[in-house]
Amino acid sequence: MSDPQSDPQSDPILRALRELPRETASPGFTARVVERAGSADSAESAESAESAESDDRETPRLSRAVFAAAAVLVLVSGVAAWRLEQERRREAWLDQVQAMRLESARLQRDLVELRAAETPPILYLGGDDRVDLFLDLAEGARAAGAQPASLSTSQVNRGDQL
Amino acid sequence: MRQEASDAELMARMGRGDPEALGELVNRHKDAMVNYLTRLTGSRDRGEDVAQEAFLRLFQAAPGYREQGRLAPYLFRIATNLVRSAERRERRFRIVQGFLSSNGRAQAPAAQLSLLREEERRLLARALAELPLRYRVPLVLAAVEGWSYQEIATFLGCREGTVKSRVSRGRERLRARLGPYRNGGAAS
Repeated sequence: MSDPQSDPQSDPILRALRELPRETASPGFTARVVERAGSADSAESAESAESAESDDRETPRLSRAVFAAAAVLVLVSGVAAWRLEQERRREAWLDQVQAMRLESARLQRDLVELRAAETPPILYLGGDDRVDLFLDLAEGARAAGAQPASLSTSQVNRGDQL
Repeated sequence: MRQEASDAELMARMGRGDPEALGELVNRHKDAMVNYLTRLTGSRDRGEDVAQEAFLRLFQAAPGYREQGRLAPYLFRIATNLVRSAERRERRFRIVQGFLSSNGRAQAPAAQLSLLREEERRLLARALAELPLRYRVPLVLAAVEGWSYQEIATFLGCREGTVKSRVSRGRERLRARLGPYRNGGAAS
């Protein structure tokens, strides 16, 4: 080996690897191989050394194809799930909007009814056996602009005239 | 005196279905194969099983074999691919216990070796077997089998610089893995 960094004499790891005891085949190894080679089982095995070498290439191709198919499946499933979720949220939002519209219409209706039923108050200010003194606030508002309830002197005077 | 047949001649005879040629080839390469595969798999039993399978594949491939120089790299490539396929299958099915086990029938320690030394070797063999295959193969071939970087590069079909880099990285990983033990602690 030309790389001095990898010199087994200088690198303890490489030296330790080099010093690992050499394993040898067990007794009867050759006989077992020859027996297997001659057996019907081994004859049925159609795989050759080339196929053993091609294992290295075929399997990754197969694995990649399976992996790609799985990835596409996961992607499609993910997109479909996302779209379903979006649709569900949109429907929920539309339901909420519809409920709000109904509520708004109901409130509007109530408001109109309340306004229609509203009558300006007439205050009883007092009186005696001969005269009862009332203050018509609607009349006062029409006369004094937007201050029907103010107790201005003029209004009191106007009430006095009643 | 009968001259020893070359690997190519034995392969040719094997291709014609001569079982004796297979026996001769097995005898010639079995120890190197078993040692290489034991270091690669971390188990002597497993290494021997894969070696048997590799020889059978070689036998089946013999009729179509074309002489490419040395037979050993061809045989080692078959064996390496068998280990790679097996590890891939096991990784796929999450069966990793086999690779985590230590040598099933490790040879008895030599009398002169201390227990500490034996433990260190056991840890080293185990750490080596747990390295990623892309570092393990060149490291075993270079450090254990003594192949040159050029031979490994040809074997793996890559550049010599790639081999050096992988050997170096594998060595660093082993160093990191064994660091605690070598510094007096327990290896992870």
